[in-house]
Amino acid sequence: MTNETLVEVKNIKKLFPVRRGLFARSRGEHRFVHAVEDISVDIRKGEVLSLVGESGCGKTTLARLILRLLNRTDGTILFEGQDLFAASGGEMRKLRLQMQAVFQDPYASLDPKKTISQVVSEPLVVNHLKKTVNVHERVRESLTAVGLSPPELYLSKFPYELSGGQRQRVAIARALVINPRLIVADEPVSMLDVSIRAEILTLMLDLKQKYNLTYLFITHDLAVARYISDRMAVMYLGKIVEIGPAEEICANPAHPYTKALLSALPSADPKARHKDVQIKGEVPNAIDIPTGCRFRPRCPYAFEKCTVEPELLQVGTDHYAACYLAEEMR
Amino acid sequence: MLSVEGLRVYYQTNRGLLKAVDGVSFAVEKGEIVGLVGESACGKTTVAMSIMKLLPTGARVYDGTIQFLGKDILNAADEHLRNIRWKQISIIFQGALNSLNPVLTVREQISEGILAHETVDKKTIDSRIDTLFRYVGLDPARKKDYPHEFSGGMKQRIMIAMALACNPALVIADEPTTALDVVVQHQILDLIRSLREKLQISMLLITHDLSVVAELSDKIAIMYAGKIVEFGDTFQIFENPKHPYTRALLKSIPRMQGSKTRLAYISGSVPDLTRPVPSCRFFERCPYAQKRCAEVEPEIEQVGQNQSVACHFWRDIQSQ
Repeated sequence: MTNETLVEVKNIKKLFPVRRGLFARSRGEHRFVHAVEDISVDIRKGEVLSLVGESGCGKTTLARLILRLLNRTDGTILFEGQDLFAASGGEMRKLRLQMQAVFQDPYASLDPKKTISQVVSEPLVVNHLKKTVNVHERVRESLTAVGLSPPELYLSKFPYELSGGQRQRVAIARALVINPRLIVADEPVSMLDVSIRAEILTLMLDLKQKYNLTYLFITHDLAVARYISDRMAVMYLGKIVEIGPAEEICANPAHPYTKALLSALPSADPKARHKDVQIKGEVPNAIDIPTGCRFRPRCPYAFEKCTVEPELLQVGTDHYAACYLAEEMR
Repeated sequence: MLSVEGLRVYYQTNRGLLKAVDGVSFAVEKGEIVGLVGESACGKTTVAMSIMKLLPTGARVYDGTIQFLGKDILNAADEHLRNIRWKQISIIFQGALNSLNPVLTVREQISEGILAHETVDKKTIDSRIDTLFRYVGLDPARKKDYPHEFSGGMKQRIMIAMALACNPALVIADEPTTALDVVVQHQILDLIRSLREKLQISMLLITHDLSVVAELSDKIAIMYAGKIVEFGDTFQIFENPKHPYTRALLKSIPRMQGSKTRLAYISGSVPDLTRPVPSCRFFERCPYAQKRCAEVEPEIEQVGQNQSVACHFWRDIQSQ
């Protein structure tokens, strides 16, 4: 891991309009889901950065913005200094060669009517690389790299003939086939059984080493995040509330929300039962965001100062938290 | 209270008989939570559905008995079954967030269940719903609301209230927290724990998540490919797992404590259950497999006071 930046996200913001009835519209009332609000974060070359948080916290929206699968409302994203939202169609196509995605559901993300060879070669085909590279060779290499070897066994198979774990390997092979630099993996193991989960995580770590990849890894599972990532960013209602080295965050969380998430985690050890979790209730909807610190209504430590939204403050080496009490929390 | 003996449930498929549950025996005592754990397609939901006699068409019980409070369920008359279902054994279904009827108020849905079994007046029902709501931590004033007005965690609480509506002796919970976020999951697990103490209910907890059973259950049964491979006291099994599959499963979970070590995993995949072989079902994936494992299927045997395991070589494995 180096300290060079691969992707620089600057004050990115994404609002989704909420569909309203005719009368509300005629009165000119518009409401928005604040999916991502003013997030700035760097993805460094060669690192695994994980985005963790509960459903609806905006982690997938942020990932889709980085892949430019969504347009932003405000802010910029630079991929090696190049502005994604200012790039022309041709420039964007070149940029896309450097980023690939692996999605959650390997049963839905592979076209059931295509053979594995067609699935894996598709990125080469759609990016018009058929003439410049040896497609067949690349597909075989890619399948071998993800442990589907010998590749001949799989090339002419259809997705339904493979198990869940094998399908996710195919999805990873498809991402690898154009030699990307960044892989955005959105909950790639949450649909898989535990034993297979470990297999895919370990494979992803090996591939990262071998091909010098950078991962943006999205997960709701803190234990998975701890295992795979170098740095971890905890999101709550569209904002990053804490970011830092994964190990450090798990051992010494500085934000009350991170603390609560960690204490709520059921542990696979019956002797560690009955932990106290201090937060009550559920995540509010992202339309009416609480004023001030957005975690304030659920926070057991909230006090007057929290009516003003805190910025991310440094609390340790490379470790930042958006809480006035971050120092005391640790 | 509930005892399942040698249960075999097969599905008729176009590739032949699929032996989804093949000789499963276990018991749930009064006031006990038993966790039935396994990966997808290991047969755990089929076991639950056999107990409720809600098996889909194409599935048939080929062998075995299920006794509830000393009475046979499998051969019970419909009349008797209707009496048992929901009144004495209720179920919290998987995907509970979508199992509520969107066009009926919560009150109507809960009272429907009660009225199917008892003749009671409106007032009694209302007061019972109020009590149930308080049990599960909801405001009784909200009973006239529709499902969409509740959050995911609250809907799960409603499902639990529904399951408790007729004071059942046994509740089957099929993946009760799977679709929930960690904080809400924690709240629901806490709720189940407190209800169990308050109401003395027995529970069969079905899940793929080892940490959920570690939190809740007194005993666990580990299922693999239609068989229980290990059964016993939760603490004992987590402390000292004996079956190679249990051992591998426990090693494959990423942990929050301790140093980061490389995760172990089980290579290969589950055998085809339409073509069972006379071997141990875990044979192909087992790092300790020997010749005998391919020839003779191990019986489940008692290995300690509160633990039993189906493996020929558990003694040797343990000393390794």
